[in-house]
Amino acid sequence: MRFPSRLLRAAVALAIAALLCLADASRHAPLVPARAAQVSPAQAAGAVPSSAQAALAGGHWERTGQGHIPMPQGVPAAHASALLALPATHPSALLVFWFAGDRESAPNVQIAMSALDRASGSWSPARMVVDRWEMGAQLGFGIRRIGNPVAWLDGQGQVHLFVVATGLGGWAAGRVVHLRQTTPRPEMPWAWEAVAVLPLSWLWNTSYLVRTAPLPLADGGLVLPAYFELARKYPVALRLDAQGALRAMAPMSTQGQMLQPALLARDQREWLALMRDSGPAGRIRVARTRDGGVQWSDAEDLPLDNPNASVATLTAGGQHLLVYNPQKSGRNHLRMASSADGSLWSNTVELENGPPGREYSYPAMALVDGQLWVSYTDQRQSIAWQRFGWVAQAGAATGKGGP
Amino acid sequence: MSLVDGPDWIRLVQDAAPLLPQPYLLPLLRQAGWALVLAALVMALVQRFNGRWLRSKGRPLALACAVWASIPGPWGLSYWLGLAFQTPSLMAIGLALSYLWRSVVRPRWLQTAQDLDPASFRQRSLARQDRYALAGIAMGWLLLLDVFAYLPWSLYAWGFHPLANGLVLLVALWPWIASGRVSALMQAPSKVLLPVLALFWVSRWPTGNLWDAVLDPWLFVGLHGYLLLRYRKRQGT
Repeated sequence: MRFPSRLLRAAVALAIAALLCLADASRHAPLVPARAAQVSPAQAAGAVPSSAQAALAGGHWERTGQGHIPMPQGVPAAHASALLALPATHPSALLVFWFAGDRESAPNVQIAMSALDRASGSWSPARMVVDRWEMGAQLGFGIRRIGNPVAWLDGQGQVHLFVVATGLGGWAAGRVVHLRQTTPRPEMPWAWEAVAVLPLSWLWNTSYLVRTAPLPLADGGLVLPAYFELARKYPVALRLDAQGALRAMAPMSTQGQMLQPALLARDQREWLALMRDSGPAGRIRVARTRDGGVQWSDAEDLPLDNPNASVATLTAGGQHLLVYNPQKSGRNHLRMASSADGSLWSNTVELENGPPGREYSYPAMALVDGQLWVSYTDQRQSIAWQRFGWVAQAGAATGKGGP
Repeated sequence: MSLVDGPDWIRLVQDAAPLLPQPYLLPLLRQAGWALVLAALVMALVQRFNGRWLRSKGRPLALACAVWASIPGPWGLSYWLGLAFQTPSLMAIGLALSYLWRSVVRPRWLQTAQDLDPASFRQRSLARQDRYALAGIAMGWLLLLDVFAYLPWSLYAWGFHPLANGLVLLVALWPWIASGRVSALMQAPSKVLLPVLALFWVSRWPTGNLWDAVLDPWLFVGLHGYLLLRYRKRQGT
C-alpha cells in the first residue's frame, strides 16, 4: 500500500504508535492511589495510645531495658541496623539486620542478623545471612561492597531485604538489591534469593542507596525511601507493590544536599520526610506530600540541630517518634523526641550522651508487643538497643482508644 | 511516573505501573550482550590498523573476547563489566550484531545497496545516521541532567510508561514518513531500532525502562565520538 502524502504517512505512523501504546498499556497493572496503613499492630492491640493528644498529654515512654546485640564471632565493626517487627504468631518478636565486617566498606562486610526470642526475650547469636559473593552469583555480576540493609515483611509473612550493593566505586556507586527470604531449611533457616536490582537510574543504575525504614501502605505495598548521592544528594520515594516489585518513583526534593529520608504519615495521604542535610545548615530538613506521594515539596526545616546524621521515625499510635543526634557536630549524643504533628517535637528522652568523639548513630525503631525498641550503632563496633514501655500518667485511662 | 494519580491529563500517563523483565534470563542477556559488544569493538579497532598481521587476527581476537565475556561467574568478563556498567542497551547489542554481520558474515546474497555503495545512497544514509546520532546525544544529555535532578520532572521514570514506546516507534518510523519508501526502514538506524523496540516490547530487557533499552551511557559517549569523526571527515573533504 502506498501513501503518497507525507501527512498521511505521519497519520498512519501516529495510529500505529497509538495502537502500540494502547496494547502496551493494557499489559500494565493499574496504579491505585497510595494510602499509608494507619493502624499498627500495637495500636490495634491497645498497647499504645491511639491519639496524639492523648499520648502527649497522658503518659511517657519509660526505658525498661538496654544492652547490645550479640556480634558475630571475631567481627570488629558494625553499622546501620534495621529493625523488623514480626507478627504475634511468630516465635521471634523482632529481627535486626546490620552490616558487619572488618570495617565499613571492607571486602568482607556481610549482612548480619539476630532475632529476639519472644518467649525468653533474649537475642539469638548473630549470624551472617547475606554476602556479596552469593548475591553476585545469583545476580550474574560482581558486587564490590555491601552496606545498609532495610527490612520489610510482606502480607504472606515473607521477609524482604533491600541492601545497598556497590559497583565500581564507593557508596556513590551504590545500587539497591532486592532480596527475598526463601523457604527455610533446617541447615539454613534464613536463606535469601536475590530478586532484582531496582532500576532507578539511567547512569548504569548507580548511586541510589537505602537506609531508612519503609512506610507500609494500605494495599499491602510500601513506600521505600531512597536517595541519590553522587555529587548531588536528593531523596526519592519508591513505591513497591505487595510483592516488592517497583511500581513508581518520585523525587522528594531537588535541592541537592538532602539524604536518608525517614517517612512519617500524618494521615493516609499526607506524609513527611525528615532528612539529614549534607550542607552547612546543620538541621533536620523536611519534605512534604499531601497527596500520597504525587507531589513532594520542600517544607520548613525542623527546629532541631543535626550533624548530617541519619534519623529514624516511627508512628506509634497517634504520636510520631523521632530518634536523632541533637547537635550541629558530633554524633556522641542521641535523643528521642515525640510529636503530635511531626513539626513540633517535645517530651525528649536522652538515649546516649557520651564524651566528644564517641559515636551513637544510625538509629532504627520498631514497636513490638506494645514495647518500643530502638537500635543504633555504638562506636561502629556493635549495635546497641534500648527498650521502652508506655507509662500512662496517674488518672489517665489506659487501653484501646486512649491512655 | 509519580506515586499515584494526579490531575486528569497527568493520570492518562501516570496510572500504569511499570512492566519489569523476568529476572531469570537477565544474566544470559548480560553475557551475550557484552560478548557481542566486545567482539564488535575488537573487530572495529582491528580494522583501523594497517598491519596485515593484526588485521588477519581480528576474527580470532573478537571470538576470544566473546568467549571470555560469555563465561559465567567471576572468570567471565561480563561479570566484571556488569559490576561497573550492568547490561549494555539492546540498541548497543543490536548495533554490534549489525556490525558483526556486515564485517564478519557478509553473505553475498544479502548484499544491500549500502554494500554496493553508490555515492548518492551513502550520502543520504549517512545524513540520516547523523541526525539520529544528534537525537541520541540530545536525549542522553537530558537523561544525564535528570540523573542529577536538574530537571523538574523524572525523565527516567517516563521510560517505564507505554507512551515512551509509541514515541520511540515514531522516531524509528521517521525515515518512512519523510521519504515514503518502506525500504528506508531497512537501513540504519531504523533496521536496528525497530527490532530493538519489538524485543523490548516482548521482554522488557534489560530493566523494564525503555531508555535503558535504546541508549546506554557508553552508546551516548560513542555517539559523540561518531559525530566527531564525521565532522573531522567532512572538514577533511
